[in-house]
Amino acid sequence: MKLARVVGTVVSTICSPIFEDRTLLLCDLVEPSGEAAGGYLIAVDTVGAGAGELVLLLDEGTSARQVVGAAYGPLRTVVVGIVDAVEGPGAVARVEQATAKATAKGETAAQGTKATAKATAKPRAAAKQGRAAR
Amino acid sequence: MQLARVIGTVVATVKSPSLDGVRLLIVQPLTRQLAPVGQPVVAADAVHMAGPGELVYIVGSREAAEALEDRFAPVDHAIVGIVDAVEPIRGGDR
Repeated sequence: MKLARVVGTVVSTICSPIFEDRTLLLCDLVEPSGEAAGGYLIAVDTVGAGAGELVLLLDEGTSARQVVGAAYGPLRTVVVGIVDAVEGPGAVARVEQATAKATAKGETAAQGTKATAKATAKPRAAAKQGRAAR
Repeated sequence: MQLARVIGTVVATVKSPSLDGVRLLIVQPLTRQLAPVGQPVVAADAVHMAGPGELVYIVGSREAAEALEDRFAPVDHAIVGIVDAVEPIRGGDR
């Protein structure tokens, strides 16, 4: 399984039947430290993740189909968890720290526009509220 | 799954019987900023509607064959959807 950060959604009307009525999330792969590992995956959401959250990706077809309860279909990557904390050497203890780091990086890096940094910071707060409400 | 752009088509008359009626398109994998990354690959069009220039998403390895009618067709990349929009996250987007 992989650690990733949700950075967007993919909207698709014409798709394989297994993706109908499912949310496709654009997820940047990240290191345990919270920094970008390079690369991304489009994953089907099964846990209600969104808005800049650190998530657990499952990238294996048979298991992925089992998660959504489908016997067949071109499904391979699913979001199977929302990460609360990562522990261990080099890892951030809490997800909040990782988010702060990612946000700071977005502000300084040339590729991260101010809009991106804002988009990372704001939904995080919204996500927290949403989770508290649940 | 990854984003990709359709950049061409492939015509093959002699091929595995499982590939009869399967459209083969050349796709260029993209980063999420839609910049080309890596080498173009030949992908089976599982949605039957993708055309040149279109933004699609592809699935690789074993799952590519799962997208086709013959689940054991010899393909390793398949187009499984056409992208309408890639939306970055927004505040309160839950």
